[in-house]
Amino acid sequence: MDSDEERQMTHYLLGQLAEHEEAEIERRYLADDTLFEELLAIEDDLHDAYARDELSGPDREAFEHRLLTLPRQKDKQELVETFHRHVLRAASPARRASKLELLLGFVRAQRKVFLPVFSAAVAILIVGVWWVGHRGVRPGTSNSVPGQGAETQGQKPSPSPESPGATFAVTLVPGLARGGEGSEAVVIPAETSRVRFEARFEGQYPSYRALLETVEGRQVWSEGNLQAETFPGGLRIFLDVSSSLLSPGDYILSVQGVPATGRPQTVADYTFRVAKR
Amino acid sequence: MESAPFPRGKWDLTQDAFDLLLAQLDTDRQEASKKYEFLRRKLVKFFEWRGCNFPEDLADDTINRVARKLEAGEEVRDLAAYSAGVARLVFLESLRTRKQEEEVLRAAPRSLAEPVDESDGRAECLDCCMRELSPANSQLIMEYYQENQRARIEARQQLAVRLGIPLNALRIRAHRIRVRLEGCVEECMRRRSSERNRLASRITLK
Repeated sequence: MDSDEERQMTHYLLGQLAEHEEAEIERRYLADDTLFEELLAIEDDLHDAYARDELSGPDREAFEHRLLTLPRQKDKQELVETFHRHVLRAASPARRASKLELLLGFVRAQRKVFLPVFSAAVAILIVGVWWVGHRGVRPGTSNSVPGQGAETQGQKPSPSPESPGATFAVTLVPGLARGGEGSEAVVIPAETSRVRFEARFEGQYPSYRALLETVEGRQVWSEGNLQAETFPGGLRIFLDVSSSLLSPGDYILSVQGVPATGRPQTVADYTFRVAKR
Repeated sequence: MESAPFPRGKWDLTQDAFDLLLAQLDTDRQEASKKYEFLRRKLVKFFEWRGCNFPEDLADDTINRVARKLEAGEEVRDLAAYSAGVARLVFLESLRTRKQEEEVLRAAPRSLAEPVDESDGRAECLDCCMRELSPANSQLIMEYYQENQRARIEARQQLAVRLGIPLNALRIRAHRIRVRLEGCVEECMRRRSSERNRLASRITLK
């Protein structure tokens, strides 16, 4: 199958062909077992691309309309997303191709200090410093912390909204695959009491949930009933996680869109390594 | 295809009609059974890819109509092409009832039980099923679906070269491993679910 034919098959699966073209492909694959299997494999790739957020807007919409309506198609998609996480976990940290771009700002007391380790990261980033940390961030009371944590599971961040200490800001941007060796580290200074993640993504849902796991699959933190806010680059949510939960190691943060009915869908996965100083 | 109208309405596949269909597929009965299963699978996907709500029912309806025609003495030279024509007809007919189907689906009572979050169970099942794969297949599928898009394309090309097969063949091989994994995870989830139900009923009894 050449690339034109493959494109044609992809359009077929997404319901983007004229009726006579569809009929022609159907006639062919009903007679040709190999072609049918190739179509099934292309369907697999579409499920995979959807899970990785690699489909364009119109293709994503077409996929949801055509290949994500039946219960078994949704089950398949959930399995693909589970597999996707499995692949992320299994990849060695040094070779893991991160979907993460980091912008890290560390603010201690009244001072703004950018750690040297982040300067290289900042140089390759497309987003700028956007947030200034401060003492005693109140989760749920600040306008910039939309999530109220109504269904927080597992370990909660520090319950005291007045807890002193510095907040460390991390911006997570999916879809900017970085293929180099090594992984960006979020180096959390010892004085930090809380890490505020700004997770950026696309995909509008009534609400969201976020799940932080180690690469070994241990759930570290989660929060539900989160509301996204729009900003010029898309959507974002803010997640405040107590730094005591973040031991050095590799993590996967998943953001899931929660539809009005039906199961949550992963809208973005971010991987990063935590180091402490 | 003859212009005689296709029989509509409920008609159960008779043994004679089924035998004729199998004979049309292959002279060897066992081989014919395999071909029948594959044809049915194709037809289910045909209706699924066309966005039908009940693809299995429509696939069975198509097969029944083909078998009935054979039983009626119709001469079919190319069964695949013939089935494609019948499937298309069944699809067009289904469009008329689709609105009703969707209303039925909307009106169907929803389970009062809280939906169970199965993500942890699915991950455990997947881990387990991955371990059941041969090392070669496990390595192939992990390389084939690695995270980074650019690295993935390169890895697939290298894999194809290493295995001495074209990219299309590699894709089909990965698909077959995936089918096996999906089946294994499905089975594992079913076992977990029945175990959960068994424990729940035991607790209720107590």
